[in-house]
Amino acid sequence: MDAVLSYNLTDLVPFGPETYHRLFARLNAALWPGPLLLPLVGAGLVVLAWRAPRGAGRVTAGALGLAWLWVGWDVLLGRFGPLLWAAPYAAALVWIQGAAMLLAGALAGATPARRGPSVGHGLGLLLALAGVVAWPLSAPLSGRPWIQAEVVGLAPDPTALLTLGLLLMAGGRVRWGLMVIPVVWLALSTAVHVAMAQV
Amino acid sequence: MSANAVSSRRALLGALTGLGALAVTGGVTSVRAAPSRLSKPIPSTGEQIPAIGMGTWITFNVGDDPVLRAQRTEVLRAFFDAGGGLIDSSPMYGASPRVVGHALAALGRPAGLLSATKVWTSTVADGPAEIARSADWWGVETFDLLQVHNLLAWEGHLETLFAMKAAGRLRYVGVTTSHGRRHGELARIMERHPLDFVQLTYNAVDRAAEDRLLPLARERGIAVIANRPFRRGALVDRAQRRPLPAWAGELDCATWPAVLLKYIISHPAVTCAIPATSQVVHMRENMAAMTGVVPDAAQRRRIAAAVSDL
Repeated sequence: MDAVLSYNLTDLVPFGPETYHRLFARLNAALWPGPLLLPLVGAGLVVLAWRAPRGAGRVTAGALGLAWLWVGWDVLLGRFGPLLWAAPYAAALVWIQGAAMLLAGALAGATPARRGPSVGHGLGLLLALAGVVAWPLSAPLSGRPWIQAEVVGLAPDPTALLTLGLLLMAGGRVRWGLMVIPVVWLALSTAVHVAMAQV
Repeated sequence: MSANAVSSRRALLGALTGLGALAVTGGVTSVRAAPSRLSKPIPSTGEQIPAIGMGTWITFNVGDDPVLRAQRTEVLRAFFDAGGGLIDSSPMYGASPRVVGHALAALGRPAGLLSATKVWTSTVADGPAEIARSADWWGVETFDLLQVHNLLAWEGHLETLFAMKAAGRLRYVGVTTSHGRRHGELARIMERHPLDFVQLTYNAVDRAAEDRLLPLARERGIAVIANRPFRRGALVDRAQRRPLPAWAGELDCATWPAVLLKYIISHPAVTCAIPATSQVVHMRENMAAMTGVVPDAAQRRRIAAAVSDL
C-alpha cells in the first residue's frame, strides 16, 4: 500500500491528451446527432429547474439518472475500458450515481423543484450552464476541433456539472447526498486533466 | 524473433559495434564507436541488443483509434529502420500491448524484435493466463523477456517465469521497479535469484541506482533496462529551454534527447534505455543516440553537471 501511495497521479494516468480528446471526437461522430441534441435537452432541464413547475424535480432526476447510467456504460466501460485498468471502478461509481438519481426521481418530493433567488440557486444555475454551454465550448476555445466537444449526457464531466447545478437549484435534504459522487468525479477528472497536461 | 535464435542482423550489429561496446564496458576513455549502432551484451547469454529500445507507457495507449494506430505504426517503423530491437510493455499500460501487436503485424513482424512485457497481477495463479493474453495481444508465440512488474507478488511470479524458461517457453526473466522505489528489496532479489534482466529508473538526474544496483548488476551478470530516461519528457522540456552546449558536438549529439540518452547507455552496467515517444521525429532523435562517440567518465560527469544545472 505504501508503494501505491508513493505514486503521483501523473504516474497512474496511462493515456495522453491526444488519445483522450480523440476519444470524444470518435464518440461524437458515432452518436451523431446526439452531441447536437443533448445540449438542448440539458438546456431544457435548466429551464425546468428555473421555472420549477410541479413535478420538475422528478423529471430532472430521472433524466440525469439515465444520463449517468449511459455515461458509465458507453464512455467509461466501453471507451475508456481498454485504456484504463481503473475504468470499471469509475463506471461502478457512475452507475451508483445513476441509480441513486433514478431512485430520487421515483420518490415523490425527494428533489423538489425550488424557485429562487438564493445564493445556492444562483450558483446552481452557473454550474448547470457551465455543464451545458461552457464545457463543450472549451474545445473550440482551446483550439481543438468542435467534434472533440464533451457534451452533457454523453461525457461525464459536463454531466457532473449539470447534475451539481440542478441539485443546487432543487430542494430537499436528499440532494446533498446526491452531490457527493459528482463532486468526487470532478475532483478525479481535474486530477486526470492535470496529469495529462504534463505529458 | 524466435525463442531460440538470434537474428542475423543482431549478430551483425554486435560484430560491428563490438569495439564500441568494449570501450563502454571499460568506461574510462572516450572512444569513437564503430560507424554503426551501439549494441550491448546481455550478460547471461552474450547476445547483443541495441542500446536504445522503446517503452510504450502512455504513447501506445491509443485504443482502437485507426488514425493514432497508423501513426504509432510509423513510429515503430522508424524504430526498426534505425536498428531498434527491444520493445517493452505491460498489461498495466491499457491498450498499448494490443497497439504494439497491431503495429508489428502491419510491419510484417520485423526481424530483430526483442519482445519484453511484464506480469502484473497480485494473484500468482492468474499470471500464466495474463501472459498468454499478452502474447495474443502482441501476436507472438513466446516472449523473449518477461518481467515481474514493480515487484508485485514477485516471489510467486518468479517461480512461474523460471519454470517457463526451464521449459524453453521463455528466454529471459526479469523484475522491474521505477521511480527509485524499493531499491533495497530489488538488491536482495538480485543477490538471491538468477535474473537475466532488471529494469529500473536511471537517467542523468535520477542516479540512485549508481550506488548499489548498477554495480550489483555487473557483479551478478544481470542486464539492466533503464526506464524513465527523460522523466516522462520533463527532462527534455527542461533541457530544451537552453541551447545545446558546444561540447555536445564532441559527443556526436545534435539534440538534447541524444545527450540524455548517451549518458544512460554509456554507463557500463546499463544494457538498454527505453524512451517512449509518439512521434517519428522524436524516435529518430532517440535512436541517433546509438551512433557516434560513447561518452567517457569525464564526459558523463559533464553531462550530469549540465543537466543538474538546468
